[in-house]
Amino acid sequence: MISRNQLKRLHSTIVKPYIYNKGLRSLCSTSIKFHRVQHDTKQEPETHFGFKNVPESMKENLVGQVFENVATKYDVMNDAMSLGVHRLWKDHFIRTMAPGPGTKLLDVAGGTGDIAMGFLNYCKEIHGDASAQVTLLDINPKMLEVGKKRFAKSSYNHTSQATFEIGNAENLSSIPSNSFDVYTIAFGIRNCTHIDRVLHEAYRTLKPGGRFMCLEFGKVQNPLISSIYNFYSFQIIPVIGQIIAADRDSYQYLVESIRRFPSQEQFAEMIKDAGFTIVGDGWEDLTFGIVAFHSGFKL
Amino acid sequence: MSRSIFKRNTRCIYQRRIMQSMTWRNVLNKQQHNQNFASAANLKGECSKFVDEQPPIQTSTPPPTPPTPPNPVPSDILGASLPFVNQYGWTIDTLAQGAKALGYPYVSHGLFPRGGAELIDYFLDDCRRKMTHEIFDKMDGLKVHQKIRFACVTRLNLTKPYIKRWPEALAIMAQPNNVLMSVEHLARLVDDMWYLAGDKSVDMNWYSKRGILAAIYSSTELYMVQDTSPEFIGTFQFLDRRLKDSATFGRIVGDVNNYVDVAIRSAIGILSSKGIGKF
Repeated sequence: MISRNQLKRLHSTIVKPYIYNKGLRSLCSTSIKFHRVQHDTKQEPETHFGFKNVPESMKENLVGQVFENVATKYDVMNDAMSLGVHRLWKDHFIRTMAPGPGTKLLDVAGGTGDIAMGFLNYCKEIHGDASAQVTLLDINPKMLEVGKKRFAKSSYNHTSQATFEIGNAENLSSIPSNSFDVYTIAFGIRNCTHIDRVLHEAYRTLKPGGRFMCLEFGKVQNPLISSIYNFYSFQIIPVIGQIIAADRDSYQYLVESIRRFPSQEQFAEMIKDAGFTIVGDGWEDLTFGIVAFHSGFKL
Repeated sequence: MSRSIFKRNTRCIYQRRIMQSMTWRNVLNKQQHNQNFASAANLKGECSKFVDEQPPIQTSTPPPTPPTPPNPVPSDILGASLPFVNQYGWTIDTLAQGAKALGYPYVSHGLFPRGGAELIDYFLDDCRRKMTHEIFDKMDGLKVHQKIRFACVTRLNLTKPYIKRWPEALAIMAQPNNVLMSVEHLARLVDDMWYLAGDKSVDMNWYSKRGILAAIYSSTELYMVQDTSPEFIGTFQFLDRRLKDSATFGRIVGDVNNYVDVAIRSAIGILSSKGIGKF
């Protein structure tokens, strides 16, 4: 058990939000609380949570808290932060995947179902196909609930095309090996504690010839764009988060976690290390590299 | 006196430093070398044996790791896709069908990010290779223009099964980002044809020959796309007429070359007789 004193210290060093502009601090009303997590933190290896370092076992809960806080406002926030551009990224993602009739998709960290919905719409509109299937998997029940509600309102309500499952991307024990054509993870892998385990599970669940696809924030190379992007990320996005979702910390975490995620080259290397065959560089930069689209094949 | 001692001392220090760095480099090289050996031969246990046997100084770069053999699956899929071209065209659908025929999922077409252009790329390469295999031992006793005709006919016959979909391929090949690929294929094709015909030219002729043949071949292919005559007789007649033209054209080029050559020489002669320039 952690003594109260230790806990206090931990709270002030780790949990206290890292805010760049002190003038905006007064806007901050919520903070991520993880008092429930009571581990002896000294022995464990650490991982990053935003710009802070936390014990590995804590990250999952902290991330869970973030997404619990923002689940209902997640889609609105995406539109607000990216000025709608995230729709273009996801659209391009699905078009590049170009699934055919009967494709089976495992959408990990599927959350509110953007990718799953786009996938089913593509199959319906391009191939007139109603046999494509998607399994929407998310670790967070609240995010998954939002996705379920969305599908309940859509035309896929009474079909068996979409199934929902709560699960951890690092351990997909409920999913048999060699069972899916495509594995997608859009803006999710960043939040996982062990990226290599996630990739390993992706490799296992895919059929031979199957495709791993990942949409994730990347590093902007152009110095001019990069400085504008950094300003926007650190000064504007948390404020948008505060105004719309009444949660500054979660969006502070978002922008920080983007900075901590490996660069495009490093991530492509990790995908290769997991056993995937990559074509060319293995990724495609979208909008100056703000987002990178990685892909690998199980051959 | 004191100055020289000072000098000697500094030199000594300097030399020792060099010595130190040299020895370090040797040690590092040695380690690296041993690692390479160990990984290459999978002899991690016997690594120490190598340490003793290897000479201490390794100035050459370590041996490159053996290259991994290219994955055969993508080219297998391309090969399996060709039978579907007449049904689906030069598209990702065709690639997906090819992948499915080999038991891979539909989405494996993503292995070819340029889509139909990569299938065309493969097809052109494949045809060129097939043409070479078919004709290289059947050339004996033919004259040069007969060899060229034979090569062209053999190559055009390989396009025959896909002729209905060939305009589509030409359209894809003419897209700005694919133009380079198409030109390269054409250049390689005519180069192979001339090589097999026994061309040994090393002058400007090398270019004109290839240029003319490229023009003939591509125009004949265009003719073939619209040809409705039985067994493409019209196409081969067209080819014969163009080859005949080229003989005339080649003579004209030769004449022009000679004329220009003489004109330049005489101009130089006139200029030097006037004392302008030193030739």
